[in-house]
Amino acid sequence: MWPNFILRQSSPPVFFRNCGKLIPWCAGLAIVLGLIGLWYALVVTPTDAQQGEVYRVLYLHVPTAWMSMLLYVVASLYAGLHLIFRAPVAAVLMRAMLPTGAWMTALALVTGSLWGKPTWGTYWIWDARLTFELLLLFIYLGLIAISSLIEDERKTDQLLAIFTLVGLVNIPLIYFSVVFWNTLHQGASLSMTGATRIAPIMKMTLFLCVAATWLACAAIALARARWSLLARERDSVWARAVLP
Amino acid sequence: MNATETIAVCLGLTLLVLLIEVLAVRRLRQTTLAQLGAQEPLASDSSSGTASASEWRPHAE
Repeated sequence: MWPNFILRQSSPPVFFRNCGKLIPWCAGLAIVLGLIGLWYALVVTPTDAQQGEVYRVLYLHVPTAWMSMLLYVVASLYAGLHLIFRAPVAAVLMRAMLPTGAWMTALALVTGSLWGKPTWGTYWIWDARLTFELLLLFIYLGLIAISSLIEDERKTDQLLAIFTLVGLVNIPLIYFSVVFWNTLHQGASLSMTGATRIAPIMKMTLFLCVAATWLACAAIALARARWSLLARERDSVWARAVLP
Repeated sequence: MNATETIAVCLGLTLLVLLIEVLAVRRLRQTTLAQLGAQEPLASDSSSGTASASEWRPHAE
């Protein structure tokens, strides 16, 4: 049953059709949750006792930083699926995550830097967490460069999938850098096992912002994958049928 | 920069990135549809065009 379901979802026309239904919901929910999240982040949540007002930047920094890593993990998952099954849908999904992931990484670095100046006294320090996050941006840019350099998309997919999986080693290094090394970047404030170190209202606001960012990234990446797939399959009957 | 300016710059950059991404996808959509529209019709285009999922299998390419 499951193999048949997955096989059906991997079919380009089914993926194209289902994405068309899913994207407006993701985008609509992202806007609604984003507006509520921003209202809570800027108006409802109290001022932080230690950092003052500038801590509100973290409602933008944390979601983008999480998304930079999550999008890479998802791209790696599709890279693996593409190497195993040679599915074109897996290849376009892998490629579609990369630009959005690169933007999220750049945003995480810039917002973190702007928050760091008043909090740490410096825009940048060669701290383990910051350095590995910068490395992630270079990995994203390298993969985007590979994806656009070679003409033959199908040959490039294999190469891209292998390099994406190699770059995956950087993600645990980013995540556990605050544990492995003595860094200026603080440890995780949220934990699935340990006690939460932030106020409930702040935690709820953070989750609203994370959910909005996740949905926005999902909508953008799915839309990019959808149209890339159509461009790639332009010679097939189903692709021609998309035109009115 | 004071705290308000820092927050405003971060929010502005985030919204700008989202706008750039939306415009990039919109451009991709227009380019793809233009490419499709410019193609010669297929001989088999007389079909309904609703290709079923069973037409595709892994390793089929």
